[in-house]
Amino acid sequence: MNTIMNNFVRAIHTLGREARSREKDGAQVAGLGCPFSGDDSTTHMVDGSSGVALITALIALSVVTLIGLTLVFVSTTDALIERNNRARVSQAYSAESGCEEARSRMSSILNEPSTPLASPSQWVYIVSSPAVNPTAGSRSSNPYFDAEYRTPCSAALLLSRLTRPGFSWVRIQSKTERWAHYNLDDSGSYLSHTNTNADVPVFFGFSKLLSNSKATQYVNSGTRPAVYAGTPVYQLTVLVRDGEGFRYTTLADISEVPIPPLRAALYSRDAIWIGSANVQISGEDEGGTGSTLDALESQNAITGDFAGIHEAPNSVRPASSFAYDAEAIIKMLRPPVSREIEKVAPGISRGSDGTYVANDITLGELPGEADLSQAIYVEGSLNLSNSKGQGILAVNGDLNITGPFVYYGLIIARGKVSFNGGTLPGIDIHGGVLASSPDGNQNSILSGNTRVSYHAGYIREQFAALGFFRLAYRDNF
Amino acid sequence: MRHSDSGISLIELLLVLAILTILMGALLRSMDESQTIATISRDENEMRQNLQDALFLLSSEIKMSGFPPESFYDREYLQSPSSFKNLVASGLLQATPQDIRFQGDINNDGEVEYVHYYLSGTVPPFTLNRFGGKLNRIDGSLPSGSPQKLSEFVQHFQLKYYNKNGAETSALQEVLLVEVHLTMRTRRVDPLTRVYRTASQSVRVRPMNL
Repeated sequence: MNTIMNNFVRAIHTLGREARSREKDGAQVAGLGCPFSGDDSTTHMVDGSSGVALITALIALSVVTLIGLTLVFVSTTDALIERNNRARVSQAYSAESGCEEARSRMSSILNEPSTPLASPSQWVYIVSSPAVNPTAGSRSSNPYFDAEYRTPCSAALLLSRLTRPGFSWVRIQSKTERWAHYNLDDSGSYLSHTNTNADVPVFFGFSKLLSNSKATQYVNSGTRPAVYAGTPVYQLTVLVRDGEGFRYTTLADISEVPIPPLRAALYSRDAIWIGSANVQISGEDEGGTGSTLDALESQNAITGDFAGIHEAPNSVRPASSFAYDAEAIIKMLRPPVSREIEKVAPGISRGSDGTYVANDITLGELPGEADLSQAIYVEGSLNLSNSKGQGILAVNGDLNITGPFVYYGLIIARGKVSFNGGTLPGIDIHGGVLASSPDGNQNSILSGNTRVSYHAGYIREQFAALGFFRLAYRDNF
Repeated sequence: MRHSDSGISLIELLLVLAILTILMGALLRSMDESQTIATISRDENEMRQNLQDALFLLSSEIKMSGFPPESFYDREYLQSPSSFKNLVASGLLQATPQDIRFQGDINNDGEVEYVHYYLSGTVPPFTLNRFGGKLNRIDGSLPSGSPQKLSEFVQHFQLKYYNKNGAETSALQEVLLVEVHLTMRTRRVDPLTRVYRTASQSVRVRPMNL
């Protein structure tokens, strides 16, 4: 098109030049001028050429304008698509940040009398600014109004600690079937107003009776409190509202990590062999706050020297029918609930088979010293010697400990354990040990000066220090 | 003067007609090109919109894979013969560079859907397909039906999977992050450049329940 236009313009210019040239020569120019205008027609003929140039210019201008408008249209559409996309992503992240703020503040919220959450009708809101009140007014008068808020619910408002929160508010409440809008069990529809079960708080925990039990949510009513051991579940609802009124909500369930139901100071699904009279295992609660457990329990045989095994009430329980789903427990304790051992002990080495090897490391500070609980996750087997710690040690493999070693809390291994205390001070564990290889066909070995004393209080403290973790997360369009 | 007053000669008329023809030709040509530009722009917009829609669908559905987890329900209820078998999502079922299968309650209606995204075709443009539907309530079996074509103009589609350390992984149980890369092309060749216009975009999705 450009070539044609250029040729055309060139032709017009040539025509114009010829006309002007002839005019100078006194010759009359025949062409586009008016034939009835007499002598002045020469001038008009030149003007006629200008008219063609004008048309040409208009055509060119219209083409340029069309191209320009198209580009503007494309750019505007692109910008709109990009803006919508950015808004969606931004809102999703804002909702997640709201959940994270609520999760991280849960422990302090529960300890604060002004923000009660004991009853499912007691709600706490974290609001983005003092101007946001989800309980005031109505849906038409308040863009941040929470349509689910109604009497007899009570609400406490907390201000977000984020510098520029992207969410409008986060609602925290005890989870019930009615507020979660689904049935957790077959005790009746949550929609029924006569179903009182639908208003009972939901908990998350383990069955104390079921073998290979995984942690699950349950309505804490009927026989559940007796059979299950767990912690309350809190439901978070986040509202993100942008300047154009678009609302985006997210729901999340959070709870504390429940303590696996312990039956013995040291449980091993694998056979246990006690190699020394200096191995002392006690199921009596050192702190005196919990019930007495067995000293040792295994799905297989328990053999060796029982001289140091405490006798009351049941000393050892071999051939037990009970088993733990160690994989599920370890999975629950993975980061971010815990920290990888590489981060706690940066100098830790790994053998050719992937086993972590550590000597003289601190896995949390001991009570009486800095007293700092530390949950640690080990992705593989661990050989540990001359170390100490406090917290929860989750080993996704075999665990070998050589004394001296002192630990306060719960040790969980997805494999067999081998404790060799050697000479005094040996191995001293205050809390409990739970070990289970996948097939249970290995041998756990206890030897040297090894002591495991059940301590319910220390175990409870370590789990309480874990804080809250997310059970489930869903966008609610 | 008399001669010029006599009217327009045939040559003059022809010249005028020729000029007008050229003018009209140029005008029509420019209109045609404008239409072509508009068409390719529409194509490009359609392609970009498809790209955004496909990525949004992919990312929002992958995000919900694994929801609800087993822990969402009472275990005894799940094991009861009377409970529906489409309540719990298994999460990722297959994770390859051009194929992803998963289960999740992607529309938050309390029933788990099975979703399969895959590419078909041997040469570009490929077709991006989505096969999905609710699991059978009674036995948890896969849904029946035909796949839905998300786009027939896919130039490149790749999925990458990352573990907690940010390293690529192919182990399903390790996957914590999914990266989706999608390149689409226009339906028609751009007449000015003689090539297809393309648009690419990548998005990283963290399935929140895996």
